[in-house]
Amino acid sequence: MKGLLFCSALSWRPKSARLWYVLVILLGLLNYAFGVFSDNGFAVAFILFYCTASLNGGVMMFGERYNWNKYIVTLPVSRKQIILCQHIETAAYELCIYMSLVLSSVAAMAWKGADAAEIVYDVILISVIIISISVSHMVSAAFGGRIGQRCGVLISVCAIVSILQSIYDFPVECAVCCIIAAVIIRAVSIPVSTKLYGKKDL
Amino acid sequence: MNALEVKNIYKSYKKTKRAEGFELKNISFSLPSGCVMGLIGENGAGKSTLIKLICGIARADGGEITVLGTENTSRKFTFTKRDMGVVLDYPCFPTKFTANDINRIMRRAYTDWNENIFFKCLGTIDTDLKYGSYSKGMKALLPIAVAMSHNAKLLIMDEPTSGLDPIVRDEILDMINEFTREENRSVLISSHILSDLEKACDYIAYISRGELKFCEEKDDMLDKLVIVKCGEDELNVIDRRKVIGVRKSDFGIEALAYRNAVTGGIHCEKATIEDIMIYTAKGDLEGGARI
Repeated sequence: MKGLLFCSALSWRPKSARLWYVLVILLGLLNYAFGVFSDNGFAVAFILFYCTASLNGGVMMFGERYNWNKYIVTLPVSRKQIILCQHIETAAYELCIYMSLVLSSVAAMAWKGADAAEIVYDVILISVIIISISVSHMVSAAFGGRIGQRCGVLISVCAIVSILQSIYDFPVECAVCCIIAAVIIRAVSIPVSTKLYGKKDL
Repeated sequence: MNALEVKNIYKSYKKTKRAEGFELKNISFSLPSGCVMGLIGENGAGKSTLIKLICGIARADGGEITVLGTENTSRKFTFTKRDMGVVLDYPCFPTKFTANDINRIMRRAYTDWNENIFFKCLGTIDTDLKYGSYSKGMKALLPIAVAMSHNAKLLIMDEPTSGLDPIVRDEILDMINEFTREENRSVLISSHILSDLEKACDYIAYISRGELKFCEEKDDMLDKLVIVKCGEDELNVIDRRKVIGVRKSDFGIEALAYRNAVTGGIHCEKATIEDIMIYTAKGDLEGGARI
């Protein structure tokens, strides 16, 4: 397990994940600009979609692209540990996105003053990422990373488009529901993906 | 004790638009500790599938595989994998990783990791070079170096020498010989280069179209089988039940037969593993013998 986690850590090196860092910084800057100057969240949602898609692609398909997923099964780790490791890696990447969104929103609010609608908007965006990635984890475990990635991207696109159509119209209850849904789906995704991956032929 | 026991393993892949259907039919054999077994067979015979099943990369539909005394579907198998070294038949390391990165990963994955052996096996390869820029020979060497460097008791190698020049192949065979010098270390190696297997193996298992045709001690098999070169009349003298396969050409008849069935006067030559495989696969003979 330590070996796998170290392998994940290697993919965090700036030379390996340069584009990822650029996207996350861009996301934060746009979110800040959006919070201070504009009511249009399209750019933020667009970058967020890219972050989610590259996260899905990076983590879920990394092993399959190089046959590394087959090789690591022969190392002294169980399939459960492999899936757990993938979840940990994804969670670390997700944390980057959340930090970028939250810090830029806090900075924007400090500049302009607190805006409840914006907080609700950020919470919903974060929930969408969690749901998209959790579902894509389960689909990847059953059908492979490519299909998992497409599924995750489809969910993010649908969710982001519907968020943009009704921007600032969300009640607080909606954000609460989204968070609860995200937490439940994430909690379910770990045992479900472990079970599906355990039976899979690689 | 057996290092590997395969009992009635069955696996079927359904026919799809992209791939032909395939069945591995009730394969059973065992590899005694301290021995080297060569797995031979034509392309698509099921060698790689069998190796995948042994390593736990694919799941069998039926049967049982015991590796170093542990069933490979049990939870304990995770710990048994510390004593297994595996080389797959395709490149399997991320292209951005260097040999140094692999060393650092494996140091954390295996408790018995020995980086001195790892770097010694890599020889002159620049350890800061990315795997993606390796030559074919270097790419083949890296997984072998990993498999050799954690004090494994069983090596499972799927075509480790395929596509390599004779010098690199010879180096790899030397490494395998070196590995088996220590007692109780076993190797299962699949290859199409039968001359390599003839040098390295104690046992030969032949799989054809998903069926195990034979699994025999190599020296024993080479001792008891001969290639007979004769005419039709002379062949008829030999007991048909002792002839494994016959091939007819314009120049005469060649047959693979048991040495004790060949009577004096008939010209015969020593059989090679390649002869045995070809005659078993192609020289079908009605009422003929099986190995």
